[in-house]
Amino acid sequence: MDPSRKRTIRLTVALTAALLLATALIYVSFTAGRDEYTASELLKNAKPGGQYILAGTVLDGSVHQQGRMLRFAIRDPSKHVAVTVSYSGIVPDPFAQGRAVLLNVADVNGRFVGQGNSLTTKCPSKYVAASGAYS
Amino acid sequence: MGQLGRAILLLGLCVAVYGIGASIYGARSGRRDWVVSGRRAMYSLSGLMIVAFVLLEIAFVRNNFAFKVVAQSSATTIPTFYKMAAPWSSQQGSLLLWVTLLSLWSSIVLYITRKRMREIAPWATATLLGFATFFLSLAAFAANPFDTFSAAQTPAQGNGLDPLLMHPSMIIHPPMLYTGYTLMAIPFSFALGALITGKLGSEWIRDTRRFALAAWLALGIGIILGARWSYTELGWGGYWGWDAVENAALMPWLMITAFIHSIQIQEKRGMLKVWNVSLVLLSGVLTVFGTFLVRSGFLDSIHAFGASTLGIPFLGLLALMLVGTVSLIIYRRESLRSDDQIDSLLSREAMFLFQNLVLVALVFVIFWITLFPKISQLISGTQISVGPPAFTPFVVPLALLLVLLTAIGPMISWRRATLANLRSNFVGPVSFGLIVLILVLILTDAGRKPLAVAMFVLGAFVIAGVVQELYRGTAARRAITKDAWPAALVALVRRNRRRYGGYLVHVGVAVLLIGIAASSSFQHSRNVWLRPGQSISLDGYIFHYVRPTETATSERISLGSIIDVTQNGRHVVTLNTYRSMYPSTNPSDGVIGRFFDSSNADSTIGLDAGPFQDIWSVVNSSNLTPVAKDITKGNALFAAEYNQILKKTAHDSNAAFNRVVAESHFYEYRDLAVNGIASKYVQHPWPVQFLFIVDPLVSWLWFGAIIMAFGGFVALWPMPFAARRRELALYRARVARDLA
Repeated sequence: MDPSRKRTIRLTVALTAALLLATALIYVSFTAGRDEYTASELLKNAKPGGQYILAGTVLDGSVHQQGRMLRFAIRDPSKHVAVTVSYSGIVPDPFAQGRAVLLNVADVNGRFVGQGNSLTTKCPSKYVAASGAYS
Repeated sequence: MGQLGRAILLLGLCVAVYGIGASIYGARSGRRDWVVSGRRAMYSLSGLMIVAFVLLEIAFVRNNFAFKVVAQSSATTIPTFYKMAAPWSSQQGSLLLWVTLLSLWSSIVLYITRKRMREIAPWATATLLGFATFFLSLAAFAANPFDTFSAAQTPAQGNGLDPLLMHPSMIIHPPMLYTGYTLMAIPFSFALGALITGKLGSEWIRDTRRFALAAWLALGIGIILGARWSYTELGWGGYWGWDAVENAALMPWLMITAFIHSIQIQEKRGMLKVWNVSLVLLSGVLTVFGTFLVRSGFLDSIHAFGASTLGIPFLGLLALMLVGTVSLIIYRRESLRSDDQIDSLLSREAMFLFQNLVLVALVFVIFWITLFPKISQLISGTQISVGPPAFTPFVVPLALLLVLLTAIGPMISWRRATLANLRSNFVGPVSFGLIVLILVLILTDAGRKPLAVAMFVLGAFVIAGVVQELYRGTAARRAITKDAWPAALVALVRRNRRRYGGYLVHVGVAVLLIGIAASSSFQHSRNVWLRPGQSISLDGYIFHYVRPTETATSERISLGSIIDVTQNGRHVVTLNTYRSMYPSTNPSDGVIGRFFDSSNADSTIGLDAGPFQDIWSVVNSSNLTPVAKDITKGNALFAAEYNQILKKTAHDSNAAFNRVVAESHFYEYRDLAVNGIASKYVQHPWPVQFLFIVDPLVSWLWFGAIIMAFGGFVALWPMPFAARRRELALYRARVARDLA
């Protein structure tokens, strides 16, 4: 086969593969992704029975264990708005007040309930000064 | 000492700027003395940075809280080895570590190449000093590790280090990542030098290949240590979460992996020049991009690492690097044309190229999904959260393809494979892979996860291929030398460390990916609340909560559990897991409450790691509701008591002495009260939450990583000069024979 034709075929195959990959990537990104709400957006958009991803920072002084339920408020980092949530799943070690978290919540008659073991927290491996000292 | 540190930073900055000027002037004018002076500027910078870093370490070890960074991330009660590791838990300290490592590696490479690459080296020196200037400017003006408090403001005690960071992995993990990132700057700088001068042969690759390999090794070790820390410290039982910071390290590692493979084609056949230059430049850009992600707070969800003002300078550097490198590649496109072409798709060159394409596709996928929340926000105004489900559909098939190519690459001939070559090299490993497939399907129920089974089979294919290569090489050597098998094997590897080190890395990759496939596909876990005496079953095991445990020291209160694990009535292991709470400094927590701060805590897992499965457990004993009333009551009582002490000693003639005595009694009673409350966890135990996991082949992941690291060291270790020349001659003869 003519070498230039061979090159053209290879280039076409490579570009088609790249295009297919890119299309699939964009499609999966949109379908696998879920809207992430801040506290203020959640309060504005939530409907009873709806499920959402709530992102923000844990409000200082809001963390209380009540029996098997952990209650805390997630604050909108850019506004003075917070949403109180109840959660009974696994609490990762880095969870602490003031730390950024992500939680899947369901609107149960106006109350927000954390789902499963969906609480994830910001990785603490960089630039985290401890809130406590050892005096 | 703070002033001395600041002065060293400023002096270092001047030296770096001078070195850039001297190197560029020397390169343009052909004046060797200026080039040498530029190189010596790097040596001087390296010395200055080592002194600066030692000063910072001394400040940490001596608890010098006049340094803001020491007060922010250390305390007197932290063990010395964690104090020594504390500098890189802060933005300021890590920037200084970055420049120190960069100048150190740069000095080594410039010393090694001082008599070679005379045209490229000055430009590489200028580029390396450019990076040093950038990071040094940040350390000197934006995040100075030598900022100090005035004497009046100096605190008596520091904030301490996050308990989660007090883990052996965290002593080595960040320096290994920084070592990898800074070593990555070396091939980047020499590639840039080669582009500027038009000297685009294999010389720059030959002299910097070892540094690329060292970067790959250090970054790989750093990534694995991070995964190990996550698995044993963060209390969620996972080792990889597709977090932006994990991806930030993985992307340049994948890119440099592609580079390490594809440079072999340029060295052997003069092909893929533009590809190699692009790969190494992209590795450098991705390194800075990763640093930008980590430090800028650009991704403001859970992946943000603390918003700072450093984002803009990093964006500027990224833009400069991208525009500069792309322009140079376009400018030199004629010189970057290949000397040869791929003759057949059934050849080692083609396999290396496919493997490169898969690696680059992986990087692209990870890059896109990591940035997707931000991209979606730009397009639709709404931030979209993407997690592992978005990565899996792409990463798993690409990883399978990669392992397949890893198996084929070393066994297929250069230029064009013949049927005889394929038969001779592939029948054994393919048969072994098929045997593994049959055994897995017959002996286990893994058939329900076909992708995991595919990984097992392909992993076996890789391992069998490497074993076959080693066997043949050793047998050939024995035929000549009549050595014993072990001696012949060691001699074989020593004679071509690069090749056989690479094969060992392939085995490590196969073992590691088998571990990942098994542990992610066949994990069983349960999240339950148990009282002492209660049990649950999980994957054929019975987890029995035997009794609670409690330890109270001045540093922490640990509440834990003893778990007995049995299988079919037979005792398997006893696990001890506990959660430790560290005293807070928040006055609103109260005199007693500050010792029960469940948000300033970490978990110690109970782990039984075995070759075939891990039994993992963690207790969440931070539910303090049953003692909440005692804590509140204690807070009130002790606050009142302390006020009494203040009142009584206020009008006393011997006030200071009496207050010390009274406070000493006060603290004694406080400690008794704290111990009393903590001991209720054992005396009147309440239900606590557990996470139990039974996970197969997790150990294979760590073992595979150790094999990879060992293989990397073997490949990196320099051969003796005579052996290197002999091997090179033999290798050239072999390639010539193959090509003929």
